Amino acid sequence: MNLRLITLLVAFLALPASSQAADEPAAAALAARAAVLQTVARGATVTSNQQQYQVLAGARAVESQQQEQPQDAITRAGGGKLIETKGAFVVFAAGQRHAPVVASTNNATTYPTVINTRTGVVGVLPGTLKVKPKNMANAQAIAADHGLVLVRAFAHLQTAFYRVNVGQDVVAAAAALAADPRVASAEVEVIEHVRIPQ
Amino acid sequence: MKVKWCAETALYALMASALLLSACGGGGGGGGGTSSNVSNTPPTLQSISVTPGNPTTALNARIQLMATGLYSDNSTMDITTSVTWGSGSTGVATVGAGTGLVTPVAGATAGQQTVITASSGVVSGSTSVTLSALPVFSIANCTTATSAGCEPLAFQQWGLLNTGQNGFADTAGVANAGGTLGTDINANAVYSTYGYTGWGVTVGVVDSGMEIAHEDLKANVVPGGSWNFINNTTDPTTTSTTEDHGTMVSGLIAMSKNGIGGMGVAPNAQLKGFNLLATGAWSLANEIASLGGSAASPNSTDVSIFNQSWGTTNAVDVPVDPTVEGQYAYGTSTLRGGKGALYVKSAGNGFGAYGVAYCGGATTIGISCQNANFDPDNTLPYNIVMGALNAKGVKSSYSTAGSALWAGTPGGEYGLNAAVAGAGFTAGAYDPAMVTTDISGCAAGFSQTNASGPTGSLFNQGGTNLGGINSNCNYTNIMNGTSSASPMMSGTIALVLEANPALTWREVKDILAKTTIQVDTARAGVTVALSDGSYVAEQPWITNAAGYKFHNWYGFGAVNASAAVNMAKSYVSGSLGTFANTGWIAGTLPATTTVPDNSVAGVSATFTVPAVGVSGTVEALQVQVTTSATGGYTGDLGIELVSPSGTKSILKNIKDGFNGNNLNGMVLASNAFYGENSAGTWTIKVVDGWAGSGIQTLTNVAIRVYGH
Repeated sequence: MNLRLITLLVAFLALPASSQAADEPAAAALAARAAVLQTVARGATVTSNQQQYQVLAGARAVESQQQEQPQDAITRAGGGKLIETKGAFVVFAAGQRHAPVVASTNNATTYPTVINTRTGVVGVLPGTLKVKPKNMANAQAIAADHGLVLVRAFAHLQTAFYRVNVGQDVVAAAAALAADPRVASAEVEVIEHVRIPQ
Repeated sequence: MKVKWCAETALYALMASALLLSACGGGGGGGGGTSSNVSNTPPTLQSISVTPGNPTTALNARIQLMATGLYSDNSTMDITTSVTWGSGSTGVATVGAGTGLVTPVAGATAGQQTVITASSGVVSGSTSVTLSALPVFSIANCTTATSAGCEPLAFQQWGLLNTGQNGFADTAGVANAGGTLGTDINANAVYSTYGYTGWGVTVGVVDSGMEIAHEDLKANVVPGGSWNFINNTTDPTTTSTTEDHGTMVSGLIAMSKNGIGGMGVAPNAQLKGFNLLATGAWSLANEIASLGGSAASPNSTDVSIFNQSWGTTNAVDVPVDPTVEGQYAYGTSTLRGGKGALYVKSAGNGFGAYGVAYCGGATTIGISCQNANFDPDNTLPYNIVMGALNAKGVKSSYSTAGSALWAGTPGGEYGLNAAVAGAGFTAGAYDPAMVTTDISGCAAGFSQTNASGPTGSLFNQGGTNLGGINSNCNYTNIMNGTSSASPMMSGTIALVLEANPALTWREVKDILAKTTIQVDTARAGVTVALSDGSYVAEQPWITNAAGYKFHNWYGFGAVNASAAVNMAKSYVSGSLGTFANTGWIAGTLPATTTVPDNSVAGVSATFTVPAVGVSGTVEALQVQVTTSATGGYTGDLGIELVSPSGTKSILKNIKDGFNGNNLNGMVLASNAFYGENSAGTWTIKVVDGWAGSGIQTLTNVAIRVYGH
């Protein structure tokens, strides 16, 4: 809604008359994003919601605080180069390889990131896992055995959500869960397309 | 007996503490329940009177009772909050524990009575409450802020009754002559004929938050029923100073009819706020918990209507999350005692621009850059996907189009005043937006007096503007978007469910499809010249083989609350039979599946579909499309589907905002075939409507039909 839409209206008014030659998205911002992404180290491959992703070992995400500028959030998280924002998340090239863990300092909590290998869309791993126990009665025990926190369990969907602890490898946790005979399926949760008010 | 006295009259003890220095073991650590410094025996409760005596209240009006204790020393005291309240007939009315607030039960009838008792130990008193008929009222006489019996802002709420007012913007809308033009939701006839106000219907506002103490919302907020996913409390009030989308949405549904502010579509509907969209709140688990999947923290299982004024802005195809789909399926089959909750969702605001998508091509030919089918949740049959209409009764400039739309409701334009916002915007920017609740006070929200804050209009500036009508800055007049269209629909459904609580979710959808008003009837299709001929990139209104009119900009048309409620009252439940689907049926591809570039020829595949359910009647439909590409660009692709009856629906427009390389089982929905028979051969056609940009090959298609 609203003033956000008013901004869109301004953008609409500013559009040049289009021509067929200009039929591809060629915004400078997209090109810059692609250039930064090319330099980011890649890691393991993971699957979630029928999509295949590759961990961006050289990129992290930090949640911006209210009215905080993206670059300020990056600075708070230790510094790096902005790749893009995704809702409240600011995704940035961190300059070095990181394990796919949720990390926390006094100033910021940072999260692993992934890229959709088909579409090129960047996602954030918030450290949660979607798990289908074969028997929901085991949901709590499974979490405990893997050193995870049971966030919510939805018996009617035969689904439980677990959260890794700070420093725990979320990709490895998913793999370990998937190998657990009490588990029908387990996958990391990827925040790829953010729900926004509209 | 002093111990008993303490238990029965603790409140009395507090009130009388000036005399009773250390009653009941408090104070100086004496213990034992003695009142050592008082020589007199405390007065004992002799009787309780409950007032008002034998009152009458409307079926949709709570009444506050008061319990007064008479004591042995002839003193009296208000003991309303300390007595035990009970209702003799809980099917007629309930009474709040510790409050004495009597609430008529939805489904009760005029003339029914219940005895309300207040008791304390062996002492009790009672009164009989009689229910009276729903009061009818009209907003037709709400022509000024001071019109008798009206909410002060109602005279500018064109979405409820469009008289050609301007909503505090610069330009006016078009009056809805006789309720036939679709320039409002035609709600006044519901109020004036039946007095329905959404009583007994709970709407869950799944959004950024809800200011539960707002002066125009609090009466309708379910006490303790909302949820804040950030701090795990029952108060989802935002901490933002710039805006609270959820509070604005909530007002459109259920601003109270309390003599202040405005009025929601269903001013007596109950509200629950779940701040799923607040910064840091979203997760898949929280989404499911907000949509009826959780019985505690929050309890969303008692919600009848879920308002989802949200969406995604992806420019590539995204698969439906099976867990989310499972929750919608659960909610529609289990909630409301098995009749199913209603899920209302926004189509999007991406007609001209959205996200990072390139919209130049779409703008040039006049089609929607974003398609409602791009948000995977919009393709599910459980969601009622809403487009927005402006005060002139046509599609709002921003409203995302697509075959997944069900209907349109007012969402307005931008509500600006040139004197405040400047004169540089397009003409529509000064057309009416929606008047609704805003964050309270002048330091936050759209309406505020901070120089750096958003305003856009004289109304939003508060103060003495417009005669001081928004001096407290508790309201705004620039809310818009399909975010506004959804709550207008949610409110309408609340009226429908009050009229007939027995309706299932599918029956409500059926009523809405049958009672909409065709708007913008002269709207022409969009035809584009490709290399070998003309291609229809967007159709005008069509009429399908079952007689339903449909347009990708409007779904079945503008919602008509009066007609919907009238139909609801006589609707025969069960007529739609059992909900069934065909499962995914693979299509038959032709020998050549390369999609010719910039050509009307395209590639066509066919599906052989049996009769769905018992009768074969279509209620919803999805197709699944996969392409491979050599340097492909999915914004080129147009996808259309033709039914056995010959009805054509365009599921994806050429030259839209998509920019992926290929489609990977992308699901697209269409409501254009509602009521037709599914049996026979369906044909899907994929065209490439833009020169260059690589070659796409159609590799897989499937169809799934829902119906009965």
